Amino acid sequence: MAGVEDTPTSGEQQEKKPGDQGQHINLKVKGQDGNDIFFRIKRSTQLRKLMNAYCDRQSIDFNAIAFLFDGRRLRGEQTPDELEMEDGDEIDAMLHQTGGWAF
Amino acid sequence: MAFTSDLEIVATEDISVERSVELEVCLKISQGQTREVKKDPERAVSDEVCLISPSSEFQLPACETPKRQCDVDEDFQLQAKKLRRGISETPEVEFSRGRDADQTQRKKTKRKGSYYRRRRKKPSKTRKLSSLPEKPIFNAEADACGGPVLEEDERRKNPVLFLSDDEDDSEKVEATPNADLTSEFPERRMEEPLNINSNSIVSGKFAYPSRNDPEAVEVLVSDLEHLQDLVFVNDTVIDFYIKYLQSTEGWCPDLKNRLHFYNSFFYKKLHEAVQSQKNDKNNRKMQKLRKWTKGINVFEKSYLFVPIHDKLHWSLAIICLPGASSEALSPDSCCILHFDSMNNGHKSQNIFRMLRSYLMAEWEFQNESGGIIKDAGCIKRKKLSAKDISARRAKVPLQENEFDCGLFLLHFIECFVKEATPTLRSTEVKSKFGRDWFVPQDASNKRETIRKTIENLLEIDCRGESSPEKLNSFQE
Repeated sequence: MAGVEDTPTSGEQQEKKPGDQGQHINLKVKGQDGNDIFFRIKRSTQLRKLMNAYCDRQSIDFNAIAFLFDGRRLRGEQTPDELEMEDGDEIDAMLHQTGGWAF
Repeated sequence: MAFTSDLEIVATEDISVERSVELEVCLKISQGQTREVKKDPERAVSDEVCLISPSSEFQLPACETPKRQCDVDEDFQLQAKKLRRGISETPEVEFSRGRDADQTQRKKTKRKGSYYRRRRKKPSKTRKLSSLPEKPIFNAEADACGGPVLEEDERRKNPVLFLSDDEDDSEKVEATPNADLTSEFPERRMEEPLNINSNSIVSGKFAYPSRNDPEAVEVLVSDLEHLQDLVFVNDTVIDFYIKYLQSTEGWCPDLKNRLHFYNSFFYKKLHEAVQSQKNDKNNRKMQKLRKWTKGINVFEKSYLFVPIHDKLHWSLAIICLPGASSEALSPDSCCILHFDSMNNGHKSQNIFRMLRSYLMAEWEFQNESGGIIKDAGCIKRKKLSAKDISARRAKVPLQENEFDCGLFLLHFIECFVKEATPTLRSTEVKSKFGRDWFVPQDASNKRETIRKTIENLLEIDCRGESSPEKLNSFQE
């Protein structure tokens, strides 16, 4: 709903909740089509939640996607804390690749 | 009501029966959109990324609501599917102002017989549900958890999915005794372990080399399918086996430190980065790609291995560098080799172009950061040009079928490392490799070897850690 997104008041926009900063981070999941989806997640939350939400939203099977963070393959039980993720970090969502011969 | 000027959409779905999670989706839409919303409410919700909540533990985009509400009758399932495609006739998301939301929701709940009944089994969740809409939603959230509540305008501008730190969903699904539910949702089932019985090999997955290794590759039982006869090998198998080679084979440790293996997605990302290079002067994608080798100066290595996947085919590139030797980079000492098990496989020239771009960008970075000058004393050259990097397509044994190229890739690596000298000159390439480098059957046999290796590791994982980790997560 573009209409909703387009109606922010810039003043209120800048108000931030201070207690919020430490615990949560924003992560961007980048699909191969170039589309980004933003997630806000607690640092101690398992990334499986984010992965599931991403796949549900994109209507893709969970097993069809490999999630990569700085080239490392992510596992569902890892947490942003564990991976030392920072606010604004980007996760790549890549379709699994199979190959046997050239067409 | 605090929000009389706004239309408030409250969709509170209890998905607690299977997922033991209460999902509350609240969306506020300013009056300006009212008409649009009424006209096409389900679309209005599903297109918005949403959030929130509070008391609750769980927030998801509204479009998921119907998908996750898995315990209602079949008729509703159908509606839900339609809704996801945005073609539903009747809105499944309730609209109301303020506290009406609660009642509407209750009515709806009663209408869905089984849904209501099951909800009753979980009194705690029911209590939460009814307590929520009594107050204006956003205040209620703040009161309930003291947690972060985004300003509504901020929400509108930056759609963000909020995720809580609940226990894992799938575990909860698994924990419910309602077996028929999973069959209604085959697509959900896919992501659960194949077998609830944890004693069996079928339930498994393992991370190699270990769960604590950040570079670990996770292999699922389903990946074994890719090692069945005639089936194409996938990236997980490739990445796993490369890791496996590194940690178990008797490679001399000195050499091992001089090798670097990129993962199977690197080339695809590199391709993207090089493509965007023309339009983006700062070359942000290349900068991002640099993070893949964080903390590593690739020019200190002797060999860089790049698995290449394109158009359902695997091949391998190896970049040979002078490594630790104090030799400057020259066409003789710096060479890109392409190993392809098919004559008409990947186009070597494309691969050389990509990898040259990468090396040059990486060189530039290392130079700027002082890495090269410090670490390899004699290399004074400021700029690396494409001319300094020679490239060859190596003559190698070819696959005799139409499905083994992934295995050839792995066999190339294995054989190459086994015979590797500290450095390889581009002039030696011709004599070193050839169509008779190894017997093609050896590569094809890897299918069986790797399958057995994975099966063993799955078994060990199941038995070995019957699992303190799992136990802990249940206790939480």
